[in-house]
Amino acid sequence: MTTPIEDAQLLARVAGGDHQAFTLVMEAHQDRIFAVCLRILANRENALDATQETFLTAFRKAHQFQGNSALGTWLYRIAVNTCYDLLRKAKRRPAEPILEHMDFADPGAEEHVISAGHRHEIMTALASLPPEFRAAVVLSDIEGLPLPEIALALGVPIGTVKSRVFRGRRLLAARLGEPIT
Amino acid sequence: MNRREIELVTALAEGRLEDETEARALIEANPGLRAAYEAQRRAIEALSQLPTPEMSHAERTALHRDVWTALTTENIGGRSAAQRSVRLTWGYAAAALLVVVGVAAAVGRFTGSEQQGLSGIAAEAVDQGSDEVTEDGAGGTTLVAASPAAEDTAAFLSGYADQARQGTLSYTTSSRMTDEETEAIERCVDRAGLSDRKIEGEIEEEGKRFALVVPEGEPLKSDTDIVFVDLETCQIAYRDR
Repeated sequence: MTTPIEDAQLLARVAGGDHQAFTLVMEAHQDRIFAVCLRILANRENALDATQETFLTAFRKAHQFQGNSALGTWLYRIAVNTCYDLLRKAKRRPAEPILEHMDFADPGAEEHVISAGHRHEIMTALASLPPEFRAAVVLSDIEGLPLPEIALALGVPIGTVKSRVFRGRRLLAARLGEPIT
Repeated sequence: MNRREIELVTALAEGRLEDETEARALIEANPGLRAAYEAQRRAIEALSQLPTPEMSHAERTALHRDVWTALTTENIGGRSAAQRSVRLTWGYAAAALLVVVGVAAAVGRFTGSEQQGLSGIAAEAVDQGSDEVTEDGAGGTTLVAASPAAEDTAAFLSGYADQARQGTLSYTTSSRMTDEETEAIERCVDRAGLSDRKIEGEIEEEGKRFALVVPEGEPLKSDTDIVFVDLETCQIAYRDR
């Protein structure tokens, strides 16, 4: 875990064109950024694109990082905005199947097939939430970020985050129907 | 449902309350709150069942490759030279090498026999190591390095040449050098057989210094023939035209 000062120093190196520093940033955050993008976009290819775009944007805007938030939070914010952009573009295009590239672990074993079915149901429900609710729920309940960090990542007040998480969960539960056993 | 009730229900569902008495009494007394609590619990439990998605090794490799390729294309990497702190990554080097190999393959002259009859400058480059050289139909020479170190050199110097032509490369210009520095570099460039050319400046990469040499009396433009002279060996390290 790095401190905001260390993050700022690292980003200053990135802004100066230090490729090694940028590689460190990517390696430290790429998996979490990808995970958030996949949960928000519900499409593996799009999530990979969004992850790439997130890091490109981070490189371009590294000089703007002030250290007011953790580097990871700053990257989450870029990632979420990138995902919103992709979702907006997708909306303008004809509907495309989602969840076709979602990950299922070890689908061979029967118990895993069952849990994979449940997971698919959950992911479908998650993907059906409005993007703002989805992002809030993903950052809160999947990534486990505290509310102040979610507020920074989403660029909204904490009260708005609470509301979005609460309403997002309620909507998700409604879409899931009966409790999963 | 007011804000306080929502916060209590949420905190109870998240297991954040040290004393749950009040919240439990509240949801027992209010069916609406109870339903809200159960919905929160169900959603949290459902989401906790999702595994953490991971990129495969191939996806991670592709991510790094694509990011560096995009940055190289945009010449964002040019700023690194300004700071003289660039560390070339393998992804960057590999991407640049792919471009070089692709060009060579496209002109259909990527064979061992092509190594004969090269221009003097290209031959000098070969002399510096076990590199292969191809010559394109327009007379431009591309160095295709065989050793990893030479691949690095060819890759980043090629990128720097592009950036210099586009005006995005920062380097120590000859006008900012002391007389002693200028003379030392001139002697080195002369030894490399380029005395008829102009020393545009000096660039440093991981402790290695190179003179950036261009045709005399011409401004840097998109088709400028740029030569990099290794200031340690006074030999041509790379020519890009």
